[in-house]
Amino acid sequence: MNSVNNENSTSAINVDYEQPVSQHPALTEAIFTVKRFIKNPLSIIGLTIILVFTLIAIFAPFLAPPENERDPYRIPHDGWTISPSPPSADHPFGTMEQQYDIFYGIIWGTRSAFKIGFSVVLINLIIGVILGSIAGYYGGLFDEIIMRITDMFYALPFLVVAMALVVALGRGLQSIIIVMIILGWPTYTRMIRGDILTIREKDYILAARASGTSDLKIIIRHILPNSVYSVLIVASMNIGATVLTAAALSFLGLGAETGYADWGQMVSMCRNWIVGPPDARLAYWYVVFIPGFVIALFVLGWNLLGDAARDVFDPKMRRK
Amino acid sequence: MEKLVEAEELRTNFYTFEGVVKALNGVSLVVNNGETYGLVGESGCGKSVSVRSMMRIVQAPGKIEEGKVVLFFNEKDRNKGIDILKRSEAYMQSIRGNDISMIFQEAGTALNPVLSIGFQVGESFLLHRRGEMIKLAVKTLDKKIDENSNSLFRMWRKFHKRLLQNETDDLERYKTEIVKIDSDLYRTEGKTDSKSLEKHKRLLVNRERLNKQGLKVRLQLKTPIIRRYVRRINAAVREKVIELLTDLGVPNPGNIVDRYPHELSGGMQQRIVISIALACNPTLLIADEPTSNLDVTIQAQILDLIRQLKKTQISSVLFITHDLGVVAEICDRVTVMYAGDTCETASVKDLFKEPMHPYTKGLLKSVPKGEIGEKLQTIPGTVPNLITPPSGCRFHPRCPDVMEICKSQKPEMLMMKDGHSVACHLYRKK
Amino acid sequence: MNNEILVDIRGLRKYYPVKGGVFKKHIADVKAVDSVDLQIKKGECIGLVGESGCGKTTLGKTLLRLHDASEGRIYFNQPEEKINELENLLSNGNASDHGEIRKLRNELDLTKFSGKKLLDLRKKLQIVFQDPSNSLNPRLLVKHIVGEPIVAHKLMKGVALEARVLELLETVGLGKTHMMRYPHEFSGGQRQRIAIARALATNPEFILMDEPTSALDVSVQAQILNLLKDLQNNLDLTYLFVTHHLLVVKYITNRIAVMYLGKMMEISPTAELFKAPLHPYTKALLSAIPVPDPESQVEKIILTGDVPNPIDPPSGCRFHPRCKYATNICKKQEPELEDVGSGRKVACHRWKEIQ
Repeated sequence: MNSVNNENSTSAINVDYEQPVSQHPALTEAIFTVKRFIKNPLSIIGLTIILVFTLIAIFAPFLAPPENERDPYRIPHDGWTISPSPPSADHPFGTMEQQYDIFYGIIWGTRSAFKIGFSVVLINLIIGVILGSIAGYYGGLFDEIIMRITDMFYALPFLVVAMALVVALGRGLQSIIIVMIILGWPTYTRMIRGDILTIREKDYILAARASGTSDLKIIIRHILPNSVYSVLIVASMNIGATVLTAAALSFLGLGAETGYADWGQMVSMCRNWIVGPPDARLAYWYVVFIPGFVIALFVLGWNLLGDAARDVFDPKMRRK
Repeated sequence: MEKLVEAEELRTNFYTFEGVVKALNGVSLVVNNGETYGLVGESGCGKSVSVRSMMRIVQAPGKIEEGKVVLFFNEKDRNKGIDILKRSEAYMQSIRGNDISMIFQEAGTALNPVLSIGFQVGESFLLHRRGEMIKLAVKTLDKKIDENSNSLFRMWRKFHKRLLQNETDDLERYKTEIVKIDSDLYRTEGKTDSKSLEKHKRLLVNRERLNKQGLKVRLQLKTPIIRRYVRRINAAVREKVIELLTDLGVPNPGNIVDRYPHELSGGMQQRIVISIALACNPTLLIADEPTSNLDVTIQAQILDLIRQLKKTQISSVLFITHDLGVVAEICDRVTVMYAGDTCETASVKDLFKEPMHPYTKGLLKSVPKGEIGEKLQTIPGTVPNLITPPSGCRFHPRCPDVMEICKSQKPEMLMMKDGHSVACHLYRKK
Repeated sequence: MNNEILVDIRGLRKYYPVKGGVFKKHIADVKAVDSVDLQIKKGECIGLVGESGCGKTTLGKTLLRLHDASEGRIYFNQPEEKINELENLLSNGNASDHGEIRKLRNELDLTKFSGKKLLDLRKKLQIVFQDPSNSLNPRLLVKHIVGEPIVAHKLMKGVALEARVLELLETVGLGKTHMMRYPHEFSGGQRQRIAIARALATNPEFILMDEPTSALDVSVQAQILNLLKDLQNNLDLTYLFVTHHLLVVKYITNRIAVMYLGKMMEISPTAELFKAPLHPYTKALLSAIPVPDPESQVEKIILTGDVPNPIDPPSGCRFHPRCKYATNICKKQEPELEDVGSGRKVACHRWKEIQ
């Protein structure tokens, strides 16, 4: 329809203004959001996957009781036999090299996955929001300094930094998390800065300034609520991607030590068993397939959830 | 007056997330040959959607539900029209390019930012008037052949002339064939016996299958070195473009053709868009708010330009606007729309002198006319939401003269006097 | 209306630097507003008209301290003697007066205000924007939008705030049922009413109207214009009405200032301006308005060409390349804005000859 005049009948919902509002409009919006979310089957699948993983992480001690209470992330192993053994009553998913229990690894690995995903993305997000807001809103010298620093971090090669840090700090999930924070925050900062630059030009920001609202309040009340959604969506997708990257680093031997309940580490341990002996190529399918499949499922879940979140929260997609 | 385009009972809906927006509620309008026809209304009243429906370029989620759009472009029989809503998309494309051009409000977005102005204008020349361009190229070539005596050059140029001739012949062939099919199509149009229907269908298929370029021409256009003769056409096009831009009042056109859209001002961009629209010698120019984003002095320039072109090049103009001042200046006949309904159609003078529909009256009273100290009258309420439009006459909730019947029954278009019709129950014969 | 001057703008300039090259060197300036003088009287509605890019919005926003002025002084509601004292010091002061000038400017000139003083100023100056769908935060309730200025100045809280917001909404023709809604639920006209209510929240003395009806339909435009007129009468407001729509200006303003390429071309009472425009640019502008009357016989003056680039404006009179009366002097010498009596000012060398 006509785009000059924004008095557009399609954008305004039909409202009976004489009716008093029966419930808080924020609740109405929330209900609308939920309804919008439910309408999309893919988002339900994503949500279910993530919910199942969450439950597994929460109830890990019941699903797979640890042998050593103080160090539950250590996968128990039945003897030292080299070759993996197939699924059995004792080991529902079979065992890996040195008889590490795959089932136990998967269950407690869920906790590791959430730990990696959440800590990396959350810290990146916090750094990104703070630095991005300053750079985007104030501009000028702040912007210049912050953006040049992000440029510097962009220039660091991922693997080299990862290896250097592992050498400095020792093997382990902590090192992986730190590497991904150091190299991840510039992306968020840039994204938030870009979003804020477009929002900053809106008239309602000027109106707030003209009515004497302080800068901090303008950022918190006007700018972030209107710009942070797109970043949150990317962040939710990145949780999956982060776990994937961590798994890749583990696979390269930069992650947790042998026997630690971490999916990437498990795949890495099974490197030698991907292909079986000449007469039975697929004899050890379970050692790689099960952890690999779980990683893929985890990433898929977050991606579907992120996609659904975009449909729901993005003002352009929301009412389509 | 001869009709040129007629829309009958157009109904277009938009299927949005909130519900079905009933954007057009049975819109009928007629554009006559040789007039400037205005379509006025507030935003969201469906004026743009009407025209887009008539051109079949309604974008998703919009859909034309019912109605007829009849074009009277047949040169042999002016009174017999074709319903384009029933024709194929390929057919529509040939009409949109050749008989009807559209210009839009945002000239900037209508132009491709990475192509030069000269290329974009020239492209539409090459597309729609290739024959003419080739003739121009041949003319300059002839001059050069006469001038130069070097036999090698002469031979080369003569060879090029031959190639150009091939293209001309090919275009002629295409034209005669398409005209033949089209006249057969007109003959079968509207007939209902099974034999004619079958023939009609076959003709439509044939029309689409018809090759625009014959084998020989395709070959000469693809062969390296030989295809360089195309440059002669391009040179001719460039000259033609410069000539056209000069006509449209673009200062320094020789320089402008090598520039890019972002280097030009809004008014200049709109001129370029108009020049592209003119390249195909349209019978009807549809202008969708072409001046709404421009300053008054630039708007005056563009309106003046359209008025000039109306005299010299285009037969009819369909002008969409929300500005009643612009309507008063440029249009001959006007239709006022409200919320997907046509309210009133009249000549401009009648409409401003004695408006009949209550909405038109209200609209005219709410425009500042430039008298000091006047008090503006307003139409109470707001434009209705078209997902749940008011029953009966869509204007009734805001109408000062509302009657019981208005709430239940949609008013018919009543012909009041010569060329002045109104859709309002107030004027029903008792 | 009285003759007390509320806003006094002296020699205001707003330049935007153009940077280029690898090291972002300062190449040139976009001269958006170039040494403009304007006095706004208390209680009047003054129109600021001109084509896009002429600097009218920049002037308005600089006045509200939404942009920082490059040069010049703006006095808002300051005693005349003090203004004169400062102006005298500025024009013929010597180095020893430097400290005195700085002190006076910080006290009088709003372009130098900061902190508490700026906050107090914001209470008295407000703005209504062109496009209400752009000027209302889509994620806030109407109640919070309208109450924002009150909260920002810590004027009221709780029940009192709620009552004040309701009162404001009622002033602009909305009601209690509109308070708990989001902006997207409203039509354009209603949104503009909300924006107006917000502008009235702190009882301002002066409101900048930045094309408040350009994004609205004609029938809604009339409603808003009538509302603005009523509000001005009832609340004793002063408006600076920035617009390119000349018929609207004619309807609502008492005085009109015409700008072209950052310069003031003509300032005149509305009735006189429309009756007999003095500046050739004003003449062309007025004749270009499409009049909603098919039988009007106004002869059009169609200007050739476009508005020149404000980075490199023409020498002399900025309008001379498009002016049909231009002579040599227009190319060389910039005309002063001279007082021609009966409250009119015009910046043209030949205004007398061309009448």
